Amino acid sequence: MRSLIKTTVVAMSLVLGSGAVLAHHGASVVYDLSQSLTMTGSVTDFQFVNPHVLIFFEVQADDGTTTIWSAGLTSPNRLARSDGWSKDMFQPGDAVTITGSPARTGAPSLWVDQVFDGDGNPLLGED
Amino acid sequence: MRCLAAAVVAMVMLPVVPAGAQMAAAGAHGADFSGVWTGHRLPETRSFSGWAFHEELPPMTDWAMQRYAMAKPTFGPTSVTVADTNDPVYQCFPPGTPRIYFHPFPMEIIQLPGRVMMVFEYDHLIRQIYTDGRGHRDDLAPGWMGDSIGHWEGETLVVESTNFNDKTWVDRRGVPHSEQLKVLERIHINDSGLLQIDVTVEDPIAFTQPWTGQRFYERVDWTVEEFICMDNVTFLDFEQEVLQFGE
Repeated sequence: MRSLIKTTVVAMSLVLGSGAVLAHHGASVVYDLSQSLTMTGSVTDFQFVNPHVLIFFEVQADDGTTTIWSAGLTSPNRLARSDGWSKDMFQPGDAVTITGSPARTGAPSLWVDQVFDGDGNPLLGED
Repeated sequence: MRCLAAAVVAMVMLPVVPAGAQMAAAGAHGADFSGVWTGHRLPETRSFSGWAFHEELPPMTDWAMQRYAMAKPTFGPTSVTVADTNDPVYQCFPPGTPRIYFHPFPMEIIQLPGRVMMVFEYDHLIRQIYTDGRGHRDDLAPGWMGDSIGHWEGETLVVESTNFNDKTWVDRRGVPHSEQLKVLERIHINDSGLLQIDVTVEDPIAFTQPWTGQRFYERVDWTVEEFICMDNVTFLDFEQEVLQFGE
């Protein structure tokens, strides 16, 4: 299934440059921080909650099948202060592209390095 | 924010300070640390300063080494998943002092007559550092954050904290301590405008000799928001779903 989904693997150094990735406890155990994946889809749920903000988004494969991916990142308080995020940041249906480290288990989940809106604008600054 | 302000006002109104101590409280503070501060990590310490004072372990006794070997932290070279950790903080116990400084949330310093309060965003923990000349309490069982008294040496606040239980870790990688822990802090605003906290850790049960560390904070125009530890449970469920994928 994953092979059908467009993926992009980039270098580890890009990932490790992000404070958002390193902020999660035990992230390296759950996610492979040496890899990076970029997925594009539409938001199905946005949880602006402690301790980690979660974005769920639907990704469509080339054969038309869809998968709900999850993406975790730092706390809402930090995102609000550093990047101006709010609970209304995303609405269901919003286009989103997320770059992050893939789950070691192959689960459709990313630990976020960067989030782009539908126009390709990055929504996270450097830590 | 209004709740926090109300809580602070309520605490000020409580008659917790003996009359004699109130008299001594009239003295001014040596410096103004009032405001919200967030952790500042020096570039050369970024690889470890999120979870320890130093990359190297402190000088632990055999007693401490045995406990360190049993620790399952989520940070550092022996880190495990949140699901597998035995870090007491993941049971929502307070991190203790000085470990509270490692949690990446701001704190507000409020200076009242005879008292400096540290109000931490993390789980709304509060340290009350009495500077009115009183001694340590001797009527309380050991606690999580310690019993803190302080005095001013010029513009430096000198704090001594004792009466800790032995259930917390000194840092986020599982270094233990005993009930004999004593934490000494010298807090001042350095030439870079950072709040510099020079920490000396003493514990004859856990460490072969006293050791030191530093933490730095920068002033920010934020307000202290809510962060409730029990909310972590929601993330634990999320993490388990990811870990158990395909099983």
